[in-house]
Amino acid sequence: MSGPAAAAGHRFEVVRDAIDVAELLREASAPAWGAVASFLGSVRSPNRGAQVEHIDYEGYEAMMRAEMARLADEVGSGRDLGRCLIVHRLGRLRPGEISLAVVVASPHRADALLACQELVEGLKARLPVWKFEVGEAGGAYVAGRADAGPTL
Amino acid sequence: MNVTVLLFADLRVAAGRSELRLPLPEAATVRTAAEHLERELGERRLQGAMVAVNERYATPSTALAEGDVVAFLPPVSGG
Repeated sequence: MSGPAAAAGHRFEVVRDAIDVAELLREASAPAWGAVASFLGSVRSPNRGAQVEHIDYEGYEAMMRAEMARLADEVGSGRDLGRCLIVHRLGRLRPGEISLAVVVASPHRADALLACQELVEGLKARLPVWKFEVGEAGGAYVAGRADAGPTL
Repeated sequence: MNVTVLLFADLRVAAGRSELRLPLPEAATVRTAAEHLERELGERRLQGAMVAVNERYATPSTALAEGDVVAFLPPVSGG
């Protein structure tokens, strides 16, 4: 990692095991940061009316970390962000398990809340991640978005 | 020149591999790489995919250099 995001003690991670939310919240705690906003995304079931057995998450890990850092720089620009922690899990996840955690600490609530939402929206559009969803009727890739760049 | 191609999700499954080395003419672009890859794989499945060069979103006209890593990315669904 390099650039301003790394210098600020942010964390951009791709993991295979359960995300430790309590640890993220501890890392986002400091007297100077009066506001901490967080988002946890988990596997939903039912999805589009069908029970989900599991989702296999696949990602381009190096680019995931690079996009997390670029997005944090963009979202943090002009804002007072104390710490920005982004963790995405890959591999097989069951319904209810957390796939994405975003935690933003700031001296002020507006910066924390708005930055957290912008990060989540940006991550959903830009992270190179694919979901293979398996249910009673078999498995299929979840239809994705192509908003992040021009398509072939 | 040679570039490394990375494939993901349904593109990876269709190709039966996640990575390959692709020889390209000098002055090749992302579009050139896509055309050569479709010939190599014997199918036209890249339509609708995005592309990243060296871990950054690129455009079809992005110029390539020796050793670049060119990733073909089906529409994404992170989170």
